[in-house]
Order: sequence, then C-alpha cells, then structure tokens
Amino acid sequence: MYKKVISIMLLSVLALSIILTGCSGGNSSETTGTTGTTGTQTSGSTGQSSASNEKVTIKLMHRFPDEPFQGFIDKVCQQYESAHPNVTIKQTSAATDPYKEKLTVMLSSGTDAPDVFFGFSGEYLNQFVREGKVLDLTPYWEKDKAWADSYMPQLVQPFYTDNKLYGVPYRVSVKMFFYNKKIFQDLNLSTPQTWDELLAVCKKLKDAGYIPIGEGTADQWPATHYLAILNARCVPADILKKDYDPKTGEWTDPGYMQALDLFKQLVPYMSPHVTGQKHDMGRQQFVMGQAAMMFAESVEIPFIDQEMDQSNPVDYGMFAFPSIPNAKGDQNAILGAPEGFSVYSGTKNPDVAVDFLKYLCGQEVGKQEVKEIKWFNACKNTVDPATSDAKLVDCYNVMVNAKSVVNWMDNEVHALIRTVYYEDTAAYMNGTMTAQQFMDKIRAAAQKAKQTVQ
Amino acid sequence: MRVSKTTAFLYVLPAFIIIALFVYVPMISNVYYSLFQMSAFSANPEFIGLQNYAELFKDNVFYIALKNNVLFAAVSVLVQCVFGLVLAILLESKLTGKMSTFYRVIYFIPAIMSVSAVGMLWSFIYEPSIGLLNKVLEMIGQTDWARAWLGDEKTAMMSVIMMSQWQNMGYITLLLVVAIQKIPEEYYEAAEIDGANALAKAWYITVPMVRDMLVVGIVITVTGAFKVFTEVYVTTLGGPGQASHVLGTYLYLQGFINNRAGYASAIGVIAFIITFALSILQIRISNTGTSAAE
Repeated sequence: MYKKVISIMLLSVLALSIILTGCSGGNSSETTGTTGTTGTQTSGSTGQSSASNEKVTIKLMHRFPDEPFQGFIDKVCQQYESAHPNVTIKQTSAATDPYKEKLTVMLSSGTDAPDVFFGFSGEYLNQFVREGKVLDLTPYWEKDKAWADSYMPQLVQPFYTDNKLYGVPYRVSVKMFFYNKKIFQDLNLSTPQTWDELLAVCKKLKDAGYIPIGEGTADQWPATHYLAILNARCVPADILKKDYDPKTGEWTDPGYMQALDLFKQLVPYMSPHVTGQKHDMGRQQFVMGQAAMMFAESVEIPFIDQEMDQSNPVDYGMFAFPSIPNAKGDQNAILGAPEGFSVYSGTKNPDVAVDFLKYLCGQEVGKQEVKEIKWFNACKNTVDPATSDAKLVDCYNVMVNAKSVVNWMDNEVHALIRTVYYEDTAAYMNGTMTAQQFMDKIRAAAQKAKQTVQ
Repeated sequence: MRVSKTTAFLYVLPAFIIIALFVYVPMISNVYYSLFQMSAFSANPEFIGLQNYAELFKDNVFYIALKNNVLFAAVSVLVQCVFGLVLAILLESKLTGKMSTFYRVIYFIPAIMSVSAVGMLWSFIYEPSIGLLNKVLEMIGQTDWARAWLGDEKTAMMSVIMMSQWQNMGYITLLLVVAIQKIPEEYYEAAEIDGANALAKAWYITVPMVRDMLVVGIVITVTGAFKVFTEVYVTTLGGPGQASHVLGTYLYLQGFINNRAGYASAIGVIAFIITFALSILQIRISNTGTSAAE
C-alpha cells in the first residue's frame, strides 16, 4: 500500500515535470560555444501581445552585453518605457559572433523572433532581407521628414537595398591607425600619408625595438579589416561593387592580388606570433607602450580608456589608412560602417516597434551616447566640440567629412566568401597558402554563392 | 512482486517519448534535410537529392576534419585509456597509500570543469607572448620550442587534443579505479604466493579483470572524439585555415555561418553513421556482457 502511494507520487512528479518543461517556452537557447553570452532572456511570453492595443511588449535583441554598453541600453529602454507607459521592452543579447548565429536561429523561428534587432549593414542584413524577414522602413522614412533629416545621409546609405530602407544606424565605427605620440616624437616620425611612408615608419620603429603595429589575428576578423580597406584602395570602385554582390561576383581584378601582396608586406611589422594571439592582446600591447601603433576602431576608445594604466598613460593620436600610389581604387575611402537596428517583418506591432526604433537611434539618444559611452550614432549634431574629448571630436570630423565608407568584409560579402577570408587569411599570413591559391578559393566560393542566390 | 506488462510499459513510456521526440525524430529529420539545399531561415528549401553527399565526398575539408577526429580518437584512447589504466593501477597500489583519495580528487577535478572554461584557460596557457607554456619553455632554456601554439597549422590540432586529455583523463581513470576496486584480493594473494611481482600482477590480473570497464572507456573516448565541438570552437574556431576543423565545427560552420543547413545535415548524417558503426564494432569485438562478473 505504502509502496503504491510512493510510486504514484513519483509518477505524477515525473509527468508534471515533463509537462512543465514542455510548456516553459522553447527559449532556453544554450547558445553553443559562447564565451561571451550574457543577457536577460526573453521569456517567450506568448499571449501577452496587443489584443486591445493597450499593453504592448517589444522584444529587443542586441549584441552589447558588456558594460557600460548594456547599462546604456537598459537606460534607453527605461527612458522610453517611462515616456510610453503602455510599452514594455524585453531584451536579449549576445556577444558579436554568437549573436550572428543566434539571430539566424531566432529569425527563422517565427514566434520567438525579436521585434527590433541589431544588424550590420551590408550583406549581413541583406541575407535576411532576401528571405523577407526585415520590415521595409521606406514608408515611415518618407512620411516623417524630421526624422529622416536628422541623419547624416552617407551613414544611412549602407542600409538601403534595392532603393528600400531596411535599418537605421545605432553606432558608427571607423577604423584608423592609432599611434603613440611620445614614441613618434622621440624617434622624430611624422604620421604617414602613403603606403611607402607607412612601411618606412614601421621599419624605424622595429629597429628601435618597438612592435610597430600591435595586432592579433587569432579571432579571424582583424586580418579581414586590412584586406577590406586594401581591396577598396586597389580595386576600382565599380568593379568592387559588382564583385561584392553575390549575383554578379567574379573576383578576377588584379587589384585583389595587389591587396594581398601589400598586406603580406605589413605582416612582419605586426606583433610577434600575430596569428596566435587575439586583437585585444594587440591593443594591450599598444596601451602598455610596447606597440607604437595599432589599427583599431573608434568604438574601441572606451576600451582603451578602461585598459590604460593611469599612472603611465599613453597620449595617442589617429591617422587614416594611407593611400596607395598608382592603385586604381578609392584612395579616400574610410574603413568603417554604421551598425544599427531593424524591425522584423512579422512583428505584431510595427508602428510601436518603428517608434521605438526612432528613439533608440535618434538624436536625443545620440547625444547621450557620445557623452556616456563615447560612441557616435549617425545623427547630426550629437558632438559638441566644446565639451567633448578632443580625440572624439577628431574622429567625428573624419566621419562627417568621409565621402565614402567601406564596410567590414564579413558584412559586405556573401557568407561563403566571408568564410574564405576569415579562415584562410591566417594560412596566407603563415605562408602555407599563396595569394594565387587564396584568390582561386575566393573565385570558387563566388561561383557557389551565385548558385545559392539564384 | 509481480509486475504486469502494462505497468512496466507505462513506467517506460515517459522516458521513451522524450527520447523519441528529442533524439530519434531530429535524427530522422536530419536525414530528410540533408537532401535539400536550404538555409536555416529559408522560405523554400530546394530538393537536390544526394548532391550534398556527392559534394561532401569531394570536399577536402571534410577529409581534414575526419582525419582530425581520428587523430583525436587515437590520442584519446592512448592517453585516457592506456595511461589512464596505468594511473588507476598506481592509484590503487601501495605506492599512494593514504593519499590515494587526495590524488583521485586532484585528477578528477578537470573533468567537472565546463569545457568552455577549460578552453579559455588553455587559450591563455597557449598565448604566445604572455602564456604559461612559452614562459616555462623560456625558463628551462628551450626558447626555440616556443611558438604560436594555436596559430600554427602544425600544432593547432594537437594543442587542442592535449587540452582535452588534461580534462578527461581523470574521468576514465576514476572509472578504472572503481573497476579495480571490485577485483577480489584473493587473486593478488594467490599471485604473490606464486612469486609474481607488481608488474606481473598488473598485467595478468588487473588488466584482464577490468576489461569490461576498459571497453566502456574506449567506447566513451572514441565516440567523444568524434563528437568533439566546444573544445575546438572556443580555442581555434577550426583555424588557422582549416587545420583544426573537426566534423562538429565543420558542420557548425556550414550550417550557421555559411547558411547551408542541408549540407550541414549531410555532415551530421555521416558523423552519426561513423560513430554508430564504431560503437557497434567495439562492443562486438570485445564481446562484453559475457564475463563471469556479470
């Protein structure tokens, strides 16, 4: 009798736990292999949306789980919620590479898809646009002139596909060479304008015992940034545009080989064992004064400030990537890109979602963004030269004056080509692959990419 | 207490449903998806029959991954099962005496650490400029052995494999320790009377008696070696180039980064066939389940 009672109880516990785990929403994403995933989980709250237009929940997904950036987004959400009491914002986040994979899964899941999500402009967003997952913002953009005019147009341009707008910028990052002013002064060096000047500076630095360029390419993306700007310098702009489009990419221009050769010339001047260490390590070497230069993004400025040893600070300046004499590409392009937010095409509350988007990426938040976390968004007049850090103002002016922006490689090209750039650049740097073999692989990937987008 | 067939069936049913839903159904769906060209979020998958497999067999990254998995398995069996057995015998011998529990714990602790944490830890150890390994090599004067362990095609895979041995050897050792503890003392006493030394006792008594557990250990290590993913993902991402790709990471690359979910499913199916065949083979060869101790 006793045994029977116990066994019935155990069975019911078992049954109950099965039912409960089944019901608690499929959102327990054990994001595989993430070393940086944090973030509050959306509880997949079904049945909480606007039946009566009263309470609305907006799901926001972003890639800034670190402080102070997460705290900043929390603040923005709270500000919006206080101004719109009927709206609740639920966040999910993940670090960059896990984010890309997580978003792929979330957007394909339908009901769990976020309403407002972060996206890199260019091919990254286009892959979702092609599958119809992104809301077309053009009608909203054209209706609200005040909103549209508050942006710097060259920074919104990358979010257009087939003349329709699919996202708005939240932050803009430009990549430049940072240099240690004291070391340059000591060695009587001036900032290089051309490629040959850059190599000469590197040689002098190396002879003096410094690491010329603090860098690490083990995380795969840093090397592709050099190739992205070198491709823009060496390949004529119209051919570059054609090749980057998966439908028409051929990749036969000799400029690509030239870019690879130039890059190889720079590798010996990077940190020793550069393929075995990560980019952060390279930045550390710069901040500690071992490396005289580094090629980094403007959004790394807050990290530099955090990592700087206050008792021995590095006074640094910035210069743009040098021009390549006699190269056929755009010698004035700046490597950088706006990154921003888009709205899911299947969102239940498009108007509220777009309204939140306008706020998140708007001028008011932009001003706070510069002040508090030292990032720019694409809105005009967010930086006040009188009260802002001189380095930020320099950066900002570069951006405002940039006539053209070159996007990061992984967001610009089709996934198959991106994989070759990501994986095989290390082999090329190590010398186990020649430039010819590299380009053959790219061309093969381009062929395959064409098939998948037909 | 007699149990009626229906009751027994009802007890088994919940677990069976869960396994069916979460293991077998996905397995079969996987085979289905491998016949299509699609991305994880594509609206219209395109049926292409066995083309994914045809491409897979011509893909040399697949063979690199396969080779790496085989290397992983071979090293794992050698280090975890063979050296693990030696270690287990040592732990259970008079040599360690009262400290044996302490040693057991020390060797086992890495096995309970999260693989991602171990990956981060060893990324630091292998770091070329400030990492422990290169610094130790400098200290003992072998600076020319210092290199970018995870950044050099020749050493990347082996470095990851060694990291995995560090983590998992304790686990197999512990299994073997348990098996050794079940061996009756009388056998050893009888052997001593016959004049056997420690080596002979180990070889003629311990090793045959732990055979069943050893087979379990080998099956675990080999199937584990073919399923490996996190170890590679958090350290080298399969790089440099494709030198340290394993089936798991190559599948992930194709499925989630290249957005070729059909191709990734094909890789998954092949990986499954390999692990399944190997497990059956090992169990058959060792003929376990028929020993007297059962």
